[in-house]
Parts: sequence; structure tokens; C-alpha cells
Amino acid sequence: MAYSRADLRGSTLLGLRHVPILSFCGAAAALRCVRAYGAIAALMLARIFAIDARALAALRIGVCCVALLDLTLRVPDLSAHYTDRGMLARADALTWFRGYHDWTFCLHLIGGALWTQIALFALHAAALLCMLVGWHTRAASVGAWLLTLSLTVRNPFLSFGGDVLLRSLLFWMMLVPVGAAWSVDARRTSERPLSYCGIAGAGLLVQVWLVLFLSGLPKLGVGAWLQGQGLAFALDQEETARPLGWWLRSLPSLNAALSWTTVVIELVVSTLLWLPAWWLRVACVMLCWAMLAGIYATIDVYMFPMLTAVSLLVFVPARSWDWMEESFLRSDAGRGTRADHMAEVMSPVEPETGSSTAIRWSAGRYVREALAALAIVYLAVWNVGLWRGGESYEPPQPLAWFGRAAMMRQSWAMFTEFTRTGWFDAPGTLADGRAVDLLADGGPLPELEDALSAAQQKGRPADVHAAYGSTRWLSTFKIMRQFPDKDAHFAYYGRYLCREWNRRHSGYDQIVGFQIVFHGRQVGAHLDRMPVLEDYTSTVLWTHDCFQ
Amino acid sequence: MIATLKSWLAIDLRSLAALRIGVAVVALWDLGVRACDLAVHYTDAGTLARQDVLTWFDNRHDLAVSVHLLGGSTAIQALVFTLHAAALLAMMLGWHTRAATAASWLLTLSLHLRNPFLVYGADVLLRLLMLWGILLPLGARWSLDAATAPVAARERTHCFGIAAIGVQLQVAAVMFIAGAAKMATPFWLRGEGLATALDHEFHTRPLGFWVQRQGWLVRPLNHLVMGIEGAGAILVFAPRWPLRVLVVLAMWAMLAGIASTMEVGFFAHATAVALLVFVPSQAWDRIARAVSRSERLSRWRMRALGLTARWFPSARVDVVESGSRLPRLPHLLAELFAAWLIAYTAIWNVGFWYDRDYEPPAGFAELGSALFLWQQWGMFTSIETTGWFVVPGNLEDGRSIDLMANRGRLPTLEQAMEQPPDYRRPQHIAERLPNIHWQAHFATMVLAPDQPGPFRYYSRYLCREWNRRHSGGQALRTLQIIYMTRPTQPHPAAHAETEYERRVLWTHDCFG
Repeated sequence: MAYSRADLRGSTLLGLRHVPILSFCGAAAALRCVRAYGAIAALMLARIFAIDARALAALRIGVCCVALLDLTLRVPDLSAHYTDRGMLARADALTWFRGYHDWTFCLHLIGGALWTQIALFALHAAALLCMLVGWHTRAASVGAWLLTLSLTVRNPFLSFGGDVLLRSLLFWMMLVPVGAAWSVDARRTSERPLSYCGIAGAGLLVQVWLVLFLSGLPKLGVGAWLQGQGLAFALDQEETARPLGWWLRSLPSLNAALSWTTVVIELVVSTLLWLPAWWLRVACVMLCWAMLAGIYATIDVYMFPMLTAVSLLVFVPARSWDWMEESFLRSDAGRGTRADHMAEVMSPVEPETGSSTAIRWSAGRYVREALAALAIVYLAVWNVGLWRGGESYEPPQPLAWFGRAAMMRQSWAMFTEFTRTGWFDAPGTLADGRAVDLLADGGPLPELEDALSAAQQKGRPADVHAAYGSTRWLSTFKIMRQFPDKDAHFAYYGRYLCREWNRRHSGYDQIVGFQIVFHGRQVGAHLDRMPVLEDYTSTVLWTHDCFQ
Repeated sequence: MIATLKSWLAIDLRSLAALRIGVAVVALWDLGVRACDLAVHYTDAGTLARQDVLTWFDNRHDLAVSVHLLGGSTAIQALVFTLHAAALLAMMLGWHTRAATAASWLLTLSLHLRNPFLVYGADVLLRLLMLWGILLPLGARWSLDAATAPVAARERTHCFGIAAIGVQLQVAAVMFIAGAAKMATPFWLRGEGLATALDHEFHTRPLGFWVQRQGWLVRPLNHLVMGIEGAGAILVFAPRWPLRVLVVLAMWAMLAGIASTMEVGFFAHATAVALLVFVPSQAWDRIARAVSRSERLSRWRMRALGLTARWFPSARVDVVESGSRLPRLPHLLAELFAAWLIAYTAIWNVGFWYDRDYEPPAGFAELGSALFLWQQWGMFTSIETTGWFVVPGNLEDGRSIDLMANRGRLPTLEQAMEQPPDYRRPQHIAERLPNIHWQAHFATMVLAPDQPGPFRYYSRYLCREWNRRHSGGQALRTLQIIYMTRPTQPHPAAHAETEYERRVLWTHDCFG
């Protein structure tokens, strides 16, 4: 089902006008009547579920930019996170994360050396770049999706919500024509559909809505949010609070208002997106963006707000894109060749050919739509199951296989569990008895001087958020803290620190052993004042002997 | 000087084409044999899960790439096997020959790294031949590439260069080291080597037992084998073509003898194929003349060429020759790499000769281990024991079962219960295991009884898979891996049962 923009605007009324007359003309007419009503229903659905080709193109460009940014930010820790000399060797990953690896495939396991990982990262970047410019878009998006899954599975200690959203979006983007506008592919073909309406498109819209709606819904079951303190609690988590958020934490009345605003936007505004009035959609997208900008400014949840903002582009209606294109082209008119070139790239289609082009139903499209239908069923069953059955829910078999193999298991409950917040350090002893702090750089192996000087500094770091090496390291430590009874986490990390430190240092500089200590306090216990050192209790999570 | 060398050591392009087809056919055949145990040998539910193989390697081959590690399920392994077969098929047909050869080599390397316990001599030889093949114009004759190439590309008849010399040296080294190692072994010099080798019941076929009993035959054959291997490896470089043909034929005869008396998998086939590089132009000319005289054959050939042109009109022309004046830099790099390969192979083989734990010098070692250039050709020189394996298991309800009832693979309950573990000598020991890869797997255990790895992984496989299928009283509690063994001896005797010692190599508690 693909409709041009002209169809979508005018024909609903046209259908309605003929139906009552026809319905009196016997059985044959009744059939025609059913068909007519079917057509009306289809058009109504199309008004809701059609996505403008330019919206898909904007989504493609946005997601690729975020994914490329993420890939770049992973590069500094390439060796520490993904090679056999890092914190999780391949054998350890396969032993510890059996559950993951039984279902999926992981290209990043083919080699443990740095060069293999560099080659795979280059391949990943190439796939994303191809997708960004829209060159062989479908193949590139399949490649990008596979490599994204593979990268996540290589080191599951690093994952968090943003990764789940990224791979879900990439999954849907494989199935919809994201390269239909603003792409190299579109320039090389005359078949340029204006909009796309299909099962996969509906799935994409549902996915984008679910992220917002399901992060709002669980908040209604949490006392802190019902009392209007949810935001303050979220901001009280020092690991993720940015300076602006830390300041905002101490303003109770503003907090309460913003808490409720957040819940309303997540639940109500996101749902209003489904109404096919263009102005309403624009307004709702704007409100959601405002909320996401607020989150971005106050809390560091890495690429999550950016990705969510980008994903909301699919709800932006054709009229806005028309308006943007017109104003963009007018302002650029006559500015020389570059503007002309841009105009040619940006303009989706000429009016006369536009109305006749539709996406044909090829065999490939049947497969894609069937896959999309399966994924929608999965999302429905999974989310209902998760709501009723809790974390341990497992869907019935074919769906369970799909969910694990395509890694579509997802949970969007954010900021609903508030436990402890604080910072880590790893006091260790060198062969000659000197004290070092192996977490001087917040995760990666520090230099000797840094480790020595960090061991002298006691007390709360001035900026707890900055004390973590990167968001990926933060995720590692969060997972470690969540499962303190599972020794393997610490054992792998500890082995990495010992092995690499002693590979680089010899004699008296070698490390003998160390502890991993968490200094934490209860979130939301003292919202009225700044935390003092007495609030924190230190817990030794792990003791490691390097020469065991 | 160069001209003399050239006329002496240049390889006929038809020899290379024959080598290409031979290597691809043997490798495809071997892949088919391996595919019979796809789930048992290459998945996480098999004898060696991925984390086990990585633990076993312990970073020894961390520079290498194994594509087969990307998934642990049967479906993904089947996919990789299909890719592998496609690459070998393309290599056989000579379609995009160089790329196909490179892909075949990479996937073969990857397969061997996935389960190193199954690798034996023929695998190593095929892998090395593929690596050399990347550097040589394997597709210049009898290939789809050649059929669609312009006539000008068919002018050259020979290939000469460092890579061409290297592949000949490599093949000769296999033979020479096999011969020289025997000459350094006392019992081979005494004339008892062949009889001892044939006493290794693990491999011996019925004809082998018969030969072993013929005292008048086995002693001359012993010296003949040493002679063919040692002297033949040198004589095969002779600048007289009839002598070369004679040596190659003698070696083929010897390999045929080995294949008919011993179960050595594809070793004889692979070596016979490798010797094709020594077949001189004159021999091919004579064969070609004989073939062109047969009218029916040439008509068939014309039809095949026509079909080729119709089906593959645009096969890429890729007839870059070793020693040719074509692309300068890649060619130079290939020759440099070939020189490095020759140096590495020489250093490795000499080093290994003196010390079994030899490690090549740093800088050399990394690349060598990444390309998995390990080789060892001193065959049948250290055969101390022979025998067969019995793997008895104990169920929860106290019954004793035979876990070797399915020849190494996990047996069903009925198979395992059919009769209790039997410690009597079986009729045909060589047939107790399905194929050479299984024999290599068990030989790993015998050769390194102090390494718990292979025992532990295999026992874990048996426990895990058995207990996945059976529970309650039928659950497997313990198992043992027992080697029924006796020392090998050159003098055939009616091997009474009392001769065999029951050596328990490993005891495994499934719930421990």
C-alpha cells in the first residue's frame, strides 16, 4: 500500500460520497460497498501510518550520524573493550554470556587481536557511511544492523538503553525505504515514491511511540514519581547528573512541576502523535523534543535523547517537509551552483511523475512486510508479557527465538529504580608497598604517575560524573554493582588490570593486588542539602590477588 | 644464469592448473567428510565449544582470524560451510581464481582454528598449497578465467619467480623431511620401520596387516620408502624431464601403497596432487597430443568451451603471472612475501628438527602463527604404542553403558545399552572411529596425556548432550576414557588379548 501525497489529501471524501448510493443495488453492489468501505478504512489507516519519504530520509541521516558518533567514541577503548587483551577476552565473553551467544552470531568474535577489531570497526563505519549518503541503502542498512548487533554481543558489559533503541531503529530501517529521498540511490532512479505506508512503517511508528509511552507508564507505579519527586531522584544520581541537573536538584517546586510534565509528555503527548492532524503532530513532536533537550542538558544518558529525538522525525508530516523544502530552497535560490546542486538532491520528485509512482510489491517487499508483521506481534506479546510477568518473562517459542536472534528484547522503564549512587576506586599495592589507585582514569588502565597521585586524594571527587572514564565504563561499573554476587564480572576486569599493568611495568612497579571499592549513598535521602562525606558508606566489592 | 634457472625451475601453467583442480577437489571431498559431523565438531553443543577452543589456544593464535567462531549454532556453521564449498568450487572451476583461492585458504585456516584437534597432515599440506596458490597463476589454464581471457593472455606457457620456486621447495620439503626423519630413526635404518608403522593398528588396513606378515617383502619396501622419499625429493629437481616423470611416478606408486595399506585420510591424495607441480611440460605435451588425436574428446572440448563462453561471458581476466611483467607493485610484494615464506618454512623445519618445542624468533613468530604456518612432516618415526579406545559410562541407576557404541559420536540409549563395554580386541581397530578426523581427535589425547584439555572437552560433550536427552535413572553420572594399548613391535605376532594394557587416561564426573 503506497499512496502519493495527492491521494492522501483528497480521496477520503471522494470515497464517502459514493458509498450510500451504491449500497442499495443488491449483492454485487454490497460487495462493492465492502470494497469501498475497505478503501476508506485503508485511506484512514494510510493517513495515520503513512510516512513521508523525506521523514524516512531524515531518520536515516540522523540515526547514521548518531551511530557514527557512538562508534567514534568507542574507538579510544578499542583495545580495552574488544580485544583478548582487554577486560573481556573472547573465551570469557562466551563463557559468561552463554545466553546471548547461543542465539545470535557475532562477527567480532572472529579475531582477538587489535587489527581484527580495527578492520571490523572500519567495516562498520563504511556501512554507516554508505547508509548515510544512501548508496546501496538497503544492503548498507542490513550490514549496519548486523554489525551493530555483533558489536553489542562482543562485550555486553557496555550496553545500555541507547543501544537497544539504536538496534531496534536499525531493524525497522532495514524494512522501510529509508533511501527513497535525499540519497544517491534516489538520484539514480526515476522511481521515487513520495510516501511509504506499510506494515514495516507502522512497526517503526509503534516502536518510536513505545519508547516514550513505556518509559512513562512504569513511572506511575513508583512512589517518588507520584509524589512529584521523581525528577529530583533521577537528578540525585551523581554518576549521570550534569552540572545543570545537579543545580536543578535543589529546587523542589520546579522539580515537582517538571516531574509531572515529563510524565504527561511521555504518556499523553506521545499518544496524541497518532492523530493524523498535521499541526497536532508538529506540536507534539516539538513538545517531545523540548523534553528530550531538557533531559540532555541535565542528565548524561549518552546517545539516548539524541536518538529518541531523531526517531521522532518519522511523525513529522509531509506538510512540514514541504514547508521546510520551500523555505530552504527559496532562501538558497540563485546562490550559485552549490545551492542548485543541493536543490536537485533535496527535491524528492517532480509533481507530474510523483503521483504515479508507488512502491511496487516485489517478492522482497513481501518478505520484509512479513518480517515486520512478526516483529510487531513480538513487540505486542513481549511488552504485555513483561508488564504482567516481570523481568523473567519468556514469550512462546518462535517469538522467543526471533526476539533473541534479532535482539528485539527491550524494556524502556527508565529512572524507576533508585538504589545507591556514588563513585568507585581501586586501591592497590605495588611490589614495593606504594599505594596506587587503578581507577584513576575511571576504568581504563592508568599511567603510573596518575595512579600514584590519585591514591593520595581521599574523599568525594569534585565531579562524580567526570570520575567515570566514559559512559561505556560507567555502564560496566553499573552492571558490576548490580550483581555483586556474580564474581566473574570482577574477576575478568581484575585480570585485565593485573595482566596489562604488569605487562607494562616491571620490578618494584608491578602490582601485587588491589580492591574494588564502591562509595555510595542512598538516592533521594537528603534532597534538601548537598551530600557530605558522612552520607557515603564504602563497600569492598572485590579483592584481587594478581599472583594467585 | 637467470635463463638457466628459468628453464630449470619454471613451472608449466598446466601443472599449476592441475594442482588447482586437485587441491580443490580433495578439499571439497574433505569438507564433505567434515560436514557429516557438523553439529558434533563445530557447534557449541559439540565436542569443542567456542569458549573451550579459545581457552585451549590461550592467545597462541590471537592474531589469526577464524570466521567459524562467529556463531555457535548448527545453522551458522552450515552457512559458513556452504560459503567454504562455494569458494572451493569457484577455485576448482577457475572462476575469479585468485580471489577464490584466497577465500578458500582463509576459510580453511578458519576451519582448522575452529577445531584444531581434528587437523592432520593432509589438512596442513592443503592449507599451505592454497597459501602458495594465492601467489601463483593457478587460473591461467583449464579455467573459466582462461577460457574467457583474450588470446594474448594465453601466450605464456610457464611461470617463474620466487613463489614458483617456493611451492616446489615446500612440496619437496614434505617428502625430504619425511625421508630424512626416517633415516635418523634407528628402527627404520634397521629395516623394521615399515613393519612397526604397520603395527600401528589405529591406522592399518587389512592389506597392511598382510604386508606386515610377509617378511621377504616388508624389509625391501622399508628401504624403498626411505629411498623414494629422501632421494626422490632431490632427484625431482633434476633438469632431465624423463627422470622427473619417473620420480613423480615412483612417488605416486608409493603413495598408492600407503593409501591401500593404511587409513591416512586424504594424506596420500593431497601429496599426490602436490607432486603435480613437478610434472614437466614435455609430459603435458605428450598427454595433449594424445588427447587431441582423439576426435570425440576434442569435439566435446569445443562444446564445453562454447558453453563456457555463453554462461560466463564476463568472467574477469586474472592471469597475473609470477615472474611476469604485469602489475609491478603487487607483484613485487607477492614475491617478497614468497621469499619470507620460504625463509620461515626453512627456519621452522630446521628448528623443529632439533627441538619439538621450537619457537621461531620474535617478529617471525607472530606472522607465522597468524598465518598458521605450523608444519611437521616426520611421519611414522615415533610410534611407541598402539591400541583402541573404550569409553564406559555409569548411569545413575548403576548400569554400565558403552559410550563408543556410535564410534565416538554420542550414542542413543539403545546403542549404548546393546552390550556392556567390551574390552576384547575388535576385529578392525581402524574402523572403530568414523574417519581420520576422529582418529586425529583421539590421537591428540594419546600424544598429550598430561594435557587435560582434550579429555575434559570431549567428556563434557558426552555428559552434557547425554543428560540433555536422558534424565532420572538414565542420567549419566561418570565416564572414563580408556586406552587399550600395547607397545608397537616390528615382528608380527598373533596379538593375544593379554598383551593389551588397560590404561585409564581420564575419569570424568558429570556432576563434579
